[in-house]
Amino acid sequence: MSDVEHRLTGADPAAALTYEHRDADAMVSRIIAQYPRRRTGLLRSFQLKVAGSATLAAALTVGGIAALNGAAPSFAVLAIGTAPHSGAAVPTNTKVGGMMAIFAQYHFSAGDSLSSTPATTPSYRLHFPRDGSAEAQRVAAVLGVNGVPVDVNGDGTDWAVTDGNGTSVNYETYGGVPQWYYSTNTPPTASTSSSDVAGGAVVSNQVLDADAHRYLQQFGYGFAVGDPQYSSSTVTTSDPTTTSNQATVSYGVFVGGVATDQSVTFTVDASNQLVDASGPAFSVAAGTDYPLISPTSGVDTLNAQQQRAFAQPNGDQSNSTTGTPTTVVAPSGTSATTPVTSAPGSSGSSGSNDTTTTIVTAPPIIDVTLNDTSVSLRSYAMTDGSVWMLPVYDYVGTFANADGTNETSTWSLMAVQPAYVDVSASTQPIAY
Amino acid sequence: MGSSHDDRFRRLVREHSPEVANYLRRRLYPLTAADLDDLVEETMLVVWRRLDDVPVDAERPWIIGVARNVLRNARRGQNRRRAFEASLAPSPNDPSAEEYVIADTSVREALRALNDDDREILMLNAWDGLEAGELAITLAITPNAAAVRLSRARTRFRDAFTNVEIS
Repeated sequence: MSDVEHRLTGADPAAALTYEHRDADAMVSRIIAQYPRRRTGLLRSFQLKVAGSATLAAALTVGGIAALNGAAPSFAVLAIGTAPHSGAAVPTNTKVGGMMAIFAQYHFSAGDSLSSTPATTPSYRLHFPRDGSAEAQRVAAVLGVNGVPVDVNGDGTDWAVTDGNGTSVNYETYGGVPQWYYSTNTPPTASTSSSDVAGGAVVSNQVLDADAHRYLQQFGYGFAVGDPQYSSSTVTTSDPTTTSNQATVSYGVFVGGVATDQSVTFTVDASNQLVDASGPAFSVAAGTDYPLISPTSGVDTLNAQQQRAFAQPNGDQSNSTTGTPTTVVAPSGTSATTPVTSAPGSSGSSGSNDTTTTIVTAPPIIDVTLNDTSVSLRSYAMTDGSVWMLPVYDYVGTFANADGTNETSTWSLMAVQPAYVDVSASTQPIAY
Repeated sequence: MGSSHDDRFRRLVREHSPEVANYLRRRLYPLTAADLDDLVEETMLVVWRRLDDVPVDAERPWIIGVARNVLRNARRGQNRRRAFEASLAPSPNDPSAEEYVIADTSVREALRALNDDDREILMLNAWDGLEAGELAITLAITPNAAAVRLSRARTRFRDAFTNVEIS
């Protein structure tokens, strides 16, 4: 371990701290008693929400399993397995009896500008290269890396092509959209021109953009990219001592004119040598017009999610011991309220048979007005192994903080009508 | 069967609560003892509900992966609560800043210069003790990707650290 890494390890702010829960036995008993190990719709809904896929939970809790009455459906039901890029911004707060309220519950209202007309954005099934090894070698060759693909994990899902200089291209097909990554071990080069800015020349945006588009054209995936986003950084090496500017260009990936959850990035050094790059490997055919919900009806779904997130474990919508729904509404002009404790009952550490008398602390409820929405495409893996990009509404809303300042945030919701979506429990560990 | 599940869960709580607590304490400040207990409990609640999915040979990285999600939600809530409690007097039980400040200023500034992804994977390795294979489980990426990203993060940290020391 180098000195630098020793310093990093030694700087651990928690190194000297120990931990013991105030009552671990009671915590375990409480968890086991309140959430029996059985498969229920509510449990599955909770799992999906905790997995960061609140958009999927919307489909499950609103429509459940797809079954159209009458005529046979025109569209095959989408059986979603995982959401590798769900990225839903809806907070997945939970409320367990006895827990301190440190999260917020939202109450959404539709602003005047929200539309009651569903969007018409298609859904797209993604197509991937059939031969991962061949694709890895092809992408590597485009990026100037020549070598033989190596099956990294021995299972045909991840390939690495490395040249004699240690520059490598990794092609990963693990869960969802395949990604390629380029990285080099070559030290960055610095320009020696006295007219350059400190750290050497910075490759112009024009050159960066042109080179990036050349690579994309050679990849041949066919998807479109949005406007370039430029950034730069200074990299300093100590042996030998050099300082070099690096320039980065990033693009959002678009399908059918709609922004997706994919992006492409290229980073070069002062000599315009590629340092780092990454992007997806997929193509699409014509889209499928799955019916969508309207933005305004989506607001109701967001509220329903919030109510379920803060419901009692036995399904009651109450947060008191009496079973009567109690809703804390922020006073006019404010958003946050003092957490409300329901009528005293037994403490959260009581026995396993006393779920109806557990004290529950309600979080402050924050009123949010959703003023704007846009549509984007998010990638979802289906249970049959296919991956689709489905339309998602990205709502923008504002709310007032207790100190009078306003805050803007975003919340996302899958826009495909619930009747066309069949959601399975996530099979991945909890992840983004 | 229920008993063996319960026993396994109790063992996981006993063995991994300290790791979860330290993971959270390194990243969320301020954090009272009661708040920390609640976050640990929320993490373990998810572990209980997903007990069958917890890999036998990778319990720690899997559970820290759960804690990451809990942390993300807690940060959103904390920002709003902080604004709400801005006028309240500090509690004598609140941890002092010294408990959570990174004393090594060069390390602190070098970490600050990194992007979020680099900083996170570096901290998971250096402070939470996760190696590449474990990082892959926590971050839901391949072991190779974890190794590549860790290597990049280390390089960028070394460069940033050197930069800080020179200046």
